[in-house]
Amino acid sequence: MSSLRYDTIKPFRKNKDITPQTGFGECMRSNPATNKCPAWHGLIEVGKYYTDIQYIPSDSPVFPKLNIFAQTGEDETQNLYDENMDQEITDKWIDEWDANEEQYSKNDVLYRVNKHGWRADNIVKSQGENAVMFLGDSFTFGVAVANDDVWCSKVATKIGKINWNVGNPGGTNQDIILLFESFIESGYIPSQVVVMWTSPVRKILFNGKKFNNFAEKGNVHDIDDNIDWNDEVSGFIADLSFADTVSKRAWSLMADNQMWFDFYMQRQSLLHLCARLGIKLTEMHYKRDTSIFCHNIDGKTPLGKHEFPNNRVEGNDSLTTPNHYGRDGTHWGSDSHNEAYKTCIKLLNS
Amino acid sequence: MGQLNYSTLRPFSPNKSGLPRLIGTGPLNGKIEGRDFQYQPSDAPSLWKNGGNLVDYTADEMLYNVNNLGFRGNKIVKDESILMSAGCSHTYGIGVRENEVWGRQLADKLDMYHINTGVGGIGPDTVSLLTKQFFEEGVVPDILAVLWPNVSRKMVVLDQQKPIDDQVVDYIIQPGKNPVSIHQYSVHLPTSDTEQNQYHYHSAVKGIQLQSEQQRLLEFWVYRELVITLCQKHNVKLIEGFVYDDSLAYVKERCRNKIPRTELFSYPDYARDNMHFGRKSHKKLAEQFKELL
Repeated sequence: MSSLRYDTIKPFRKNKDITPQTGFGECMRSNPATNKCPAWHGLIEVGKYYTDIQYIPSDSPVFPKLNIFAQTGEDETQNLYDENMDQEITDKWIDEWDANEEQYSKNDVLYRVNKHGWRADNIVKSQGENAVMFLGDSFTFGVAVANDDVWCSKVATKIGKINWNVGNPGGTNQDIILLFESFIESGYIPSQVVVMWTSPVRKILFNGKKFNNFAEKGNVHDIDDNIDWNDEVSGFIADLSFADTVSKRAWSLMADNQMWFDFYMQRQSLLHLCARLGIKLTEMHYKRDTSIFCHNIDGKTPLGKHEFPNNRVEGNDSLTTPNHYGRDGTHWGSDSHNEAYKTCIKLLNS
Repeated sequence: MGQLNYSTLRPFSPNKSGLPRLIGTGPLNGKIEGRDFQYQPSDAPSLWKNGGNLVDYTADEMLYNVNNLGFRGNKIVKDESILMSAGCSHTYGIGVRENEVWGRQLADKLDMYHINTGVGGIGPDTVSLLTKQFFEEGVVPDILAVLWPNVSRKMVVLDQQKPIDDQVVDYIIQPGKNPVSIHQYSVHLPTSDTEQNQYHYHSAVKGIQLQSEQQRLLEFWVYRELVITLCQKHNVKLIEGFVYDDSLAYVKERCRNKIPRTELFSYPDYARDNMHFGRKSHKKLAEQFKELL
């Protein structure tokens, strides 16, 4: 799920000198074995400041395989973690991948990330005054489109600011808050922030049994910063059928009732923190329900039945152009990113 | 459990402005004279532990006086030098006299006007929302002293009358006009049979029961950070007290904000209900808070 390295953010990280990063950051640069199976990430080219990556898990030949394995019960999963997987199998999987190649091909190396794994320019503290920080999930990261097509990149270019895109594929709204608080605590202060809220049904969960009510009570858990960093803490979309741990089951049972309250509190945190720091905040939505929730909770004029707030990006469900889906056939394509770009520019100018 | 009128608390309130209120008095409050009354839930003879502490207090004493909003003590004002105390029943001062309540004693020591926003049964989530609403309404203290409640307490969104999906959709479409049913639930506290029946069917309650302690601490982190940010934004001096070791350990280990804090894990005495802090404990807490300043 979430690509965030939880051991690099509050409240898990050991000190504020640790820069927040994703799993595409230092660990991928320093440990090529992270590319467990060539079909996960494809080609990886590590440069001085940036890493070029062919695939990101949800936009990779592996992702559809996971669903197929889950549905058919086939057990080829060991291949997924075999760094020496037979090239023949890799090629077969890539060949079988039903990618949307209308705009990008399977061979394209779509992703360039900075050394901390963000799809952004290098993030330098002293450049904060000229930077705009983009917070969000995979739609902000720009899964399945090329670097220059990501709406954040286009916005930053248009307004002449440095692009601090810290969109985190698979991220939760709580990730957004903790990530922002962490950057602030570390001294990375952008001049403005644009947030694209994600679904409140996603939540950071502790999956370890150590601190469960019914287990022995231990000390406050320290997130291990070794290679298994993501085992205990992760994002999760509430779904009882995938709830294979007690924590996941707990969230699946309560999400319907509690997620809007959680979202309300998380949003308040961001609004007040930006206000305190004097940072201009622009909110955007790709989810219909989050946009209406925020509109109503702010007491704005009630919307008509088919109306949406003007900060909701009309994405996949309203465009009919051929490129509205990206390479993975799920995320936005370049046209939808263009819609997001135009929406953002309108909001910034309003 | 909770004595807050949730329909006055944003975001659940239909009103976009106005201060929160507590629920009115009822049969458990005993004798009532204006805004003075004899008992509070948990400090009522039928609920006293071991017959109550009738050495330091009498059964007849009208211990409680509330303002027009139902909060204990002084009326809510904006133009004084204010010490605001926030928390649960220990802050409200269940089972002790008004001049014994730790917030009031602290304010007296500092020669400040005391506003007590403590509410019985609430958790850190509600403390955070109450603080936000008071600040938004211009009731901004010079000092905010928070005595954090148990992290196992949580607001639960329940509504027996409607399927959950309808309830959430209503809430999204017209928050306030279709208020959801809010209850305060505590994992560790026993609930009455009636409450158990009410809660029993709710998947949300089951979910909360299954939540790990670590998960609750992370949620506490979010609520606490909001209070810290609000205080920084409004230039309010924040001091904190802890009576539960899990949340204190979490803050000690994880927080780098350097908020002055104190702790009270053992009580020298008990209040009239033989469960909450007694007057000596309140005095000790007030002194410890004073030392932080």
